[in-house]
Amino acid sequence: MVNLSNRYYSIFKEALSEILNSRIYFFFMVISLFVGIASMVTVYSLGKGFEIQVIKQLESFNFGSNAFLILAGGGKFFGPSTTRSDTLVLGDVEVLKRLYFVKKLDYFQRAFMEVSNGKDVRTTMVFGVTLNYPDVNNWHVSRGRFFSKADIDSKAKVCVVGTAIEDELYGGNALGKVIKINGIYFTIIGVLERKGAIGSFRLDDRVLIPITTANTRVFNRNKAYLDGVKIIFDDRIVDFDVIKSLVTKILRERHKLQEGEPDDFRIITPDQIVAFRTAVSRVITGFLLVISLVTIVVGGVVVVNIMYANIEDKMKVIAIRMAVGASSKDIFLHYLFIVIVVALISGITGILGGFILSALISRFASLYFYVPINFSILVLVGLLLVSFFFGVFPARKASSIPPGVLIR
Amino acid sequence: MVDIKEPVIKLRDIRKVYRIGEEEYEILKSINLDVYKGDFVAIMGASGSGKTTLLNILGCLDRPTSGSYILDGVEVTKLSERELASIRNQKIGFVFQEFHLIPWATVLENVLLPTVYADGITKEKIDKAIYLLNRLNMGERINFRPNELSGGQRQRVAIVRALINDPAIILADEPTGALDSKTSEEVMEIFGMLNEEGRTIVVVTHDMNVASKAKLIKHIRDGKFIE
Repeated sequence: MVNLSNRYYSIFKEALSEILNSRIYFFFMVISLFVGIASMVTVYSLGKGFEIQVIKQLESFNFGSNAFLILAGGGKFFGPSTTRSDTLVLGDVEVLKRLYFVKKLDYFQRAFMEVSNGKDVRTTMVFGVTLNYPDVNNWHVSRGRFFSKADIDSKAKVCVVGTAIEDELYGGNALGKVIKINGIYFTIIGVLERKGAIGSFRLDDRVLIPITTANTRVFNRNKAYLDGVKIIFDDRIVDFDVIKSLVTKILRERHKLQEGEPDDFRIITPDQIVAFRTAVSRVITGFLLVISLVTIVVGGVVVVNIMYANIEDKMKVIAIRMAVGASSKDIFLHYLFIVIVVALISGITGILGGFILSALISRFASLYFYVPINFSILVLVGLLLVSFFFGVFPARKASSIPPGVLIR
Repeated sequence: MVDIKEPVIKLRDIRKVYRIGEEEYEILKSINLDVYKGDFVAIMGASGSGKTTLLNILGCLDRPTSGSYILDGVEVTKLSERELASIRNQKIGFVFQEFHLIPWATVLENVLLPTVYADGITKEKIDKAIYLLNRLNMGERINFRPNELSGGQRQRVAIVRALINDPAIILADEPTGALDSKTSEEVMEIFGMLNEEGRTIVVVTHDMNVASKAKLIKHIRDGKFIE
């Protein structure tokens, strides 16, 4: 019995030596696949990096998998309210607070309002918040102080501003200055830590005031309804689905909703926010992935053609191999080996090239840099499988060359 | 090993017919040939005599239209393509007019090529290749490439390549056709030496000087041997 593994190993080495001595063909074959692979990996890495960045940002203010938001008014996620939205009240919060799985909670009112430093006016989101705001959102003041219990109790006209407001209205120094909110003067006692943006949503463009002040002096609501409650729960003791149905049941009961009537509130999870904030980037990523897939297919066709040219060039050598005992199958394997080596090298260099490109772009666009290991392995395996397809046709042609051409 | 009285090559009534459109061309007409172990046969003929076709059939590169060819005890006309490749690998050592070495491979790699398609390259085969190259004074040049060698040196490499798997026959096609007369002489001396060691050699040529080194000369004309 012949030693098969050594035989295949020797054929493989014979193929490698052909590669090393046909560098031009080899170089162009690798390049033609490299481009598609590198762009595919780059696109995927950037798309995924953006998504992770959004998740990380949400988690950075305690909006991870152990948190959810109740917004007043029913309807679709982030769409306009399709029901009454003045039914979420302090009484609801008191009940929710007593649920065994609730660890922390902050409720708020909010509205877009004009704010002014006396000269310039701009519109921003004004939040009326509780003492729990910094803890629940993991968002503290970087300078100055947050509200005290006394501020809340006395409906004080003090506020904490985001850095966007500080930079744009006070040139980076807002502490102790006065700000006019909806015609009322407030003293700025604190500046929030800088959080950046989630996509196009600028987190630092906000002003916080005590919720008591908001309700009575600023928002001028006839009824003390809330716009939302954020709840941090203990995810070790209870499943989110259980919480969601329990909270829904309690609120529906308290709001006296009949069966068949829609919810007049929305329960929002971080997953939904991530999906909303990345919806556009996902479409773009998907589209670009399809384009790079096409590029890879085109690259594959180019490889097939260069391989044909190479075989044309190596006719005599193939005939020599057959004359000294290579069968058609040996020659077929020989050229399949070459295509697989091409696929492997262009795959690995393409993936590394994609990593580098993605790292550079992430750096300049200050995005999170994600290394898509699993995706890259998938691409490599896919490429190797497809390369069989690319390799079979030229290899079959090579194996059909008659060895008799050597004798004339 | 086959019986000493059985020929290594036994051709019986070999015919080769090419059909081009309606026309049939009978290139070989009833060829019979016995070559015994240790023989040194020269087959001579002008171009168009069927010499090349016969060589292709002898070398298992082509099949006859009809007839029987027993090579070293094996009826090869009925074999599949893969079995023929194995026969070429194990039983036939080719030496070509144009040497036909792989241009980028070294002398040693070229010599080892037939072993790739046998059991793969092994330590024993490498040792054997070096031993044989030394015998033909090519030991100093095992890492040279064909374009760094003279014609005679290239042909010696080709001869070692033909010997590496210990074939039953050495089949040479105009082995001196691309060489000057002095080098031709040297190459024919090598064939003579190999024959004295007991190797069976068949040379196809139209050069009388080459043929005269053989023990037996067969002339082919119009697809038949003439006496």
